[in-house]
Amino acid sequence: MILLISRSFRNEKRNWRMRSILVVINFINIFLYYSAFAYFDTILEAFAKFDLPLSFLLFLKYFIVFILGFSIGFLVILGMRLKVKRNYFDIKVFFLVGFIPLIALAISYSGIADLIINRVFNSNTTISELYYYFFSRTDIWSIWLGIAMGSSVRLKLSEKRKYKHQIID
Amino acid sequence: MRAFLIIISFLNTILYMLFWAYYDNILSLLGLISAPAVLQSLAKDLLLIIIGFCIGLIAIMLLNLKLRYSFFDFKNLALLGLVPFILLILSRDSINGYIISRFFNENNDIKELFFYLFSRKVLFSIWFGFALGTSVRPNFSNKKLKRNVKYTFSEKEIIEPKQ
Repeated sequence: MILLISRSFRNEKRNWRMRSILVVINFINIFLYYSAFAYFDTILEAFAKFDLPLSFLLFLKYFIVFILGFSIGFLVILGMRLKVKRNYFDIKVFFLVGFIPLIALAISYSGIADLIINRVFNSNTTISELYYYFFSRTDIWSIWLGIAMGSSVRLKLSEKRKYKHQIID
Repeated sequence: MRAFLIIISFLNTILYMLFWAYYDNILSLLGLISAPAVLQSLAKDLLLIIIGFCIGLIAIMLLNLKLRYSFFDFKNLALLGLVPFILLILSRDSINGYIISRFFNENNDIKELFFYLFSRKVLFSIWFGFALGTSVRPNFSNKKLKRNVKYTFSEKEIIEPKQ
């Protein structure tokens, strides 16, 4: 009995340590990615000599925001201390929370919206403006998608590995 | 109940997002364009906080937590929301300007550094709203009352049918 209690106590301690390390790493990540996003224009000057395409730089900017969102969502999961049997990624939650930003990003960057505006609305200025105001908020869509992805991670922190066959002395 | 709340949260998120995206147009339609700038910017930030709150609430409700009662997790809020809250306060121009003039003697480099660092209010607001939303712990199981009255028939009360 005492052995069992001490073992579970040791496990708890190990879990707590692991969780603390992950929370700290996440905070550092958030700080670093946020700084990269905030000073992106300044960082671009360093990239100027590589002559990278504009679309790639734009993608990089919003990918940073996406990772920032992921870290925030993951922090929530770490703080919740969920009891799960194994590590997995909850695709159902990801699609339910993230389908709006996913659709918005797909529409705004695939050219579907331009096609619809041109074909259906005959390049109506009002519709174009409406579309622009709503879908041009890429930073919000990116962080939302990142948060959806981060909060869909189900993490089982380390426990003593249970083998299928154990030799007990 | 859970599904109903998730749908309402979705609708709220889309509505507030629309409201935020067309904020200036809506303000001019309502004739509030002449309202104080501070109030306008506060309302805009508040909209983003609500959007974040709704996203967080959807994420929490989809987790299907097994809880005894509903509560608000302040510890989670402190862990997740303290940083964006501080950043939101520091992003106010008046506070920002006061710090720069008081401690850095109006240094231009520091001013630019502060401007870039604290001007991303969109991210802080959503982050803070998300922290608020994920701190809600809803319980959707049946309500257990403190005192339950159970009624059972005693032997005397059972009337046997006459044969």
